[in-house]
Parts: sequence; structure tokens; C-alpha cells
Amino acid sequence: MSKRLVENSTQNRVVPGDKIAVIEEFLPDETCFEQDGSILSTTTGEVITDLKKHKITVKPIKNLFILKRGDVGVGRVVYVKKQIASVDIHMINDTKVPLPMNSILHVSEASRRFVKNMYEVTRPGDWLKFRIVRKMKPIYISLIGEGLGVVIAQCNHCGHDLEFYRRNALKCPNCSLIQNRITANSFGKLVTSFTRTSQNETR
Amino acid sequence: MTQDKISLLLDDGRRLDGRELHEIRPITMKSSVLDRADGSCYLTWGNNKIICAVYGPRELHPKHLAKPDRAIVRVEYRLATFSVNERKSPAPRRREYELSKLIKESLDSVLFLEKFPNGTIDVYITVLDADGGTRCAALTAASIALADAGIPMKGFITGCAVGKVADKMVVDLSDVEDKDGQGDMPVAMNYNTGEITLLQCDGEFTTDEVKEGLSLAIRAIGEVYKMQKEAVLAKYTQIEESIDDLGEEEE
Amino acid sequence: MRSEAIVGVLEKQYVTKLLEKGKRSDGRNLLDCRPIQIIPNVIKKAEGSAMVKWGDTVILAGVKAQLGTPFPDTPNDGVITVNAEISPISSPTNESGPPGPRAVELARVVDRGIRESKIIPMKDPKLCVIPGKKVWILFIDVYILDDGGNLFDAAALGAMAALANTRLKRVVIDEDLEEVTLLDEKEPLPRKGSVASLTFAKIKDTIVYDPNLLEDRGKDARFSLAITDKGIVCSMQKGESGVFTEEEFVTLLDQSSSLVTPLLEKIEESSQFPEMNEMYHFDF
Repeated sequence: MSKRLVENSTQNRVVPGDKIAVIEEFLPDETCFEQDGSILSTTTGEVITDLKKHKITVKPIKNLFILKRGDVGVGRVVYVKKQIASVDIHMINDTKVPLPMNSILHVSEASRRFVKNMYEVTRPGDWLKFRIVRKMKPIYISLIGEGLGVVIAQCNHCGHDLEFYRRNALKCPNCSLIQNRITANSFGKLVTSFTRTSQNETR
Repeated sequence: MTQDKISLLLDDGRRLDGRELHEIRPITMKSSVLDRADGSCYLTWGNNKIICAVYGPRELHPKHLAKPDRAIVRVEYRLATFSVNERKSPAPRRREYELSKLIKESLDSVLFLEKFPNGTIDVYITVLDADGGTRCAALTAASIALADAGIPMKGFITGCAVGKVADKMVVDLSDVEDKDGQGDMPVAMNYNTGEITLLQCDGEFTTDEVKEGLSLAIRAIGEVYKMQKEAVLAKYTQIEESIDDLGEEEE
Repeated sequence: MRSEAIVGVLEKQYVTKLLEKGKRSDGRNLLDCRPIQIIPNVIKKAEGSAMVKWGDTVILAGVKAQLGTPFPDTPNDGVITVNAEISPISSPTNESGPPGPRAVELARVVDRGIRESKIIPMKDPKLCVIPGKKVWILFIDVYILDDGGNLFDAAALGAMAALANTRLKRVVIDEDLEEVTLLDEKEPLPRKGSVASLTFAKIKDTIVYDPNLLEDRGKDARFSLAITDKGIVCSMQKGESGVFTEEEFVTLLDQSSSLVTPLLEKIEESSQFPEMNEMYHFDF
């Protein structure tokens, strides 16, 4: 929660349904709505006006969870086909998502280098660190970027946790099998603090 | 019967709990009381104690209930087993189903549901201690919890009951007045726009009395609405305090 | 829900790594308890009630009493039943509907602790009004309002504190007609001591007392035991799919007496609340 919130005067704090302007003065954005020539707030927050562009907005006290392009997330692979993998999103920017969202990883977004098919990239059950490239449904994700890739993986044969062998290859300590994955440089170190898990935590 | 009705008013014209005819009971409201809920409200209205939690907008399970163009609202109004005179069975009764439906329909009118396609907004209301007028209090609490969860809405729904006791129209019936009085008329509305979203009535009223009751209810709702606004804005004070605490710790 | 189950993997990893270093996610020692607050007499319509804030877990327990016929196999005993409701208010994962296995286990463990400790003398004439015909039936209902972990101890403490504050209506018996009249005057429920519950969670090889929400979700095994103020163990329950060894149980039992004393003191403290407290007020 930013300090700027506090420094603003208490005068322009509004609750849903408060009249904040008339339609001749400003253009309402998605935090306001127009009714009978008046602009009313839809949320609790502080009114911010832009006199140059004639825009009015309410800075909400509590942000709803909104997915943005470029957000970094953590998720688990549900199934893998030749061209695509389906990934359940569990965390975005270290915040737990309110409920599972499903996303698609296409083989072209798996790595900068050439990969023959998706089975070289990931397997079902793996944990991925990714970024969002399309925020509307269907959500598309990408592994191209710094620190993105597989972070936790299990052996295809015995189910044991895999260990880092070399870049883009993992070794099973149980059956010594070496397997291909697109690994993140933080492989095996996915530990985040879970002090707050609310979806509405101000980000 | 007549004797019963008269005994609900004291000799000096006041009501059994010492209130004037048009006086509402003391109300306290507090938002953001639960850690895990997205929005919550604890409301006391006289002896009524109501807790309300809002979860959402979130993905809906089972998925076949989802609407592709809008979110749905699910409301569960429940009475705690110990909130009434005779212990209530923990299973919901017909009354609770009906009130849940009415509260849902009332809230529907102020929410921008089309912003969250396929989603759901869950409103859970539990009446911990009941003393008449719980549906109006529940709606009032639900609005605060929804605003606390940051869900976009056109305005608050505020409720207040009016009724007829000893041939006089009174505001905000208590449990005794509700049971032994001549009639009860809960009203809820969006006070800003004047849209009435809930109106029920049982008892004997003349048309003039209904008109009088409506205007009395709207006046009382105005009072409650002011408190609602304060309760929602009180969150800024909470945040300021928590920032102050953090500052002290850092020092 | 799926998300909870899988994010649970990450959470468990986090909790386990901390515990390996001997630390807990909220900075407590392994056998430390979170701060506890009991607010007695909060519900006007209930015969007895208490709100318990156990760390960030909030529960509300209420006792309703009504006269009824006793069970045929125990005609001279009053009846006590515990019902727990893990309300959907308490957490995004708790869904509404009839009580699930989790709520039923919670209710039964709390019920057993109170019943088997025999702290409420069921044969007392105050409870068994006309033997074989009219007895008091005590319904203890526990509502979980905020699920911050360790529901077992919080619910048991709430149920006990609510019983300690219960006042029943005085009964006048008409011997000939076998009819009873209830007076408005109230008298306290007979009680011979108190009972409290201790819950331990085992995560990998570490055992912690009073698991918080993260530990509660990540636990492999759970062990609850109820101990009376006379030091008698009256109920135990091992839960979840993990296992304990004999030595572990022995150490836990040795540690239990020192852990239970502060809880029993809290109960006594809350029951010494002025008897005619008519405030019925609580706040979050």
C-alpha cells in the first residue's frame, strides 16, 4: 500500500454511487458510469481528474485481480501434446490467483532455439515460470525471457524429483535417466513467501 | 388481541425498548473484519448481529451454471442455530431460501455483472443473533462487504423495516413488535437513485398507511446510508493506522 | 479446489524448508501457542456463548438448551450434542452445503472431549429434570468464522467456554401431573472442572504445536488430545495420512500437561465474568 494514498486529501474519497462530476466536464473511464448526465463512482477510492485530457477516474482502495500482459506467473502443466501444452496458472507476480486459470503454451513460445516438439520442453506435472503474452481467454504464455522455464519436475519413469544436470537437461537421482526440459536458471529454488494469499492484495 | 396491541406501546407513547415511534435502533458497522474473505462486514443493529463475507469475482463451480456474458451472484442467508428463541436446525429452512433469493435479486440490480463473464460473486450472510429486521440488516451488511471487496457497483443497497404497532406506523421493528404487531414492511433501496429493490409486506395496512410507511422507510434508510458510507470509508483510517504501525517498527 | 491443492505443494515446500531450520512461518517456537482471546456471553438468544480468537482463527460457539425426552438407553442422563459448521464465510475453500467429513470429524472430536471428560454431570437433578421423561438437551453449535488453522483447539476451547457461561432456566416440577414449568430466573449449568484440547501437526519429521493455516494445510499428520484440569486424558484423535511413532506420542504426552495449563486458566478466567453480563457485545 503506497504512502501516496495517505497524502491525498480526504475530500475526494468516494464510495460507490457518489456523484463525482457531470458529463459535460469529464469523460468517465471504467471506474465510473454515467447516469442522467452525472458521472457516478462504481468503487470506493479517491477521485483523480485530468483537466487537460478531460478524464476522470477513481483510484480504487482495493485492486481487483486483473491479469496483465508481461506478468510473470507460476503454474503447473496439465497435459502436453506435440504442439501445445496446457498450463494451470497458480500464481501471478507472487500472488496466488483467486481460482485456477488455464493457459496455453505453444511450442513456438517455448524457447529461442529450435525445439522439435513440446515433449522436449515440458511434461505433465512440471512447474513452470512463465510470462503472460495474451491476457484474454484463451490465455497464452511464453517461456522466452530471463529466468523463465521449468522450475520443478518429476521423472517420467519413476516420479522422483529431478535434479539439475546441465542447461536444458535434468537427471533423476533414482533411475539416473537424463531428460530434456527447458529449464529456468532458478531451477529447484521456487520458494516464495506466502504471508498473504488474498487475491485483492494491492499490488 | 386489542390488549396485546396496546401493550406494545408504553403509556407515554414510547415503544417497549424506550424508542420514539420513528427512531431506529443503534447501529454499528465495521468492514474488513475477516482475514480470508475478499470483503467482509460485521454489523450490529440493536440486538441483531450479522456477519457477511464476500468472495469473488471468482471462477464458478459447477461450470454449467456459468453465464458466458456475465457473472452470477450467489447469496446464502443463514440463521445461526442459536440466534433464535428455539434452537433452529442447522439445515436451511424455506424462509432462508426465500430471503437468500430476495437478497440476491436486490443486489443484482446494483452490480456491474457484465464485467466478469463466467464468474461468480459469492455473498455469505450469517445471522448470529436475531432480533427482528434481519433481512434489511443483511442487505445493508452485504452492500458494505461488496464495496469492501472492491466489486464495482452503482450504489449501496440499504434496508430498513417499517411496521404497524398499536395502529401506529413505526420504524425498525424489533422481534416482539414484529411478532405481536399488526404488520411488517421491509423496504430496501438504492438511496442515491431512489430505486426500491426490495419491498415485502405482511399484515394489515390501509393504502394510506403503506404510503406513509414508504416515506418513513426512505427517511430511515437515509440515516442508515450515511453510516454505511462512513463504514466503507473507515477503511482508509485502518490503512493509515497500519502504515503508522509499520513506520514505528522500522524506526 | 485444484488451486488450493497444488499451491499447497509450494506452501508445503516453504513450510518444510523453514522447519528444517527450526523456524516457523510466523516466527514462533515449535511449542509456542498463538495469542488467545475468549469473549464470553456474546449472543443474547443463546443460553451460553463464547467467541474465541485463536491467532487469526475466529470461532463462535453457542449453547442452546431445550427440554426433551432422554435416549432410551440412558433414561437418567441429560443429553449433550456438538455440531460444527465450517461456514463458507471462513475461507475461499470452504463451500456451503451440508457438513462435510471435515466438519463432522471436528464436531465429533470436540463432542468426545466434553462427553468423556464427564465435566458436565449428566445425572445431576438440574439436568435430568424428571428421570426417564424430561431432561435438558444441550446443543453446542460451533461456527467457524475465520479459518486461520488449528480449528480443533479453537472449537474445543469455544465449546468449553460457552458451557462455562451457560445458564439454564430454573424448572419447577409438578410431581403429580409430571409437568414442568420454566421460570425466567436462570441458574448456572452444573460443571465439575474443565477440559481443553491440544493439537499437534507433524510436517516431515518435525512436530509443532498449534499449527497455523500454512502448517495446517501442509501437515502430514495431526494429533489432538483432550485433557481435563485433573490431568486426565479423555480423548485422542490422530488424523491425516501421515504416521507417528511410539516415542513421539510419549514425548507429546509428557509435554501436554504444561501446554494445557494456560488454556484451562483462560476458561476459568472467562467463566468468572460477572454472571449477569447483559452486554452481549463483541467486536473484531
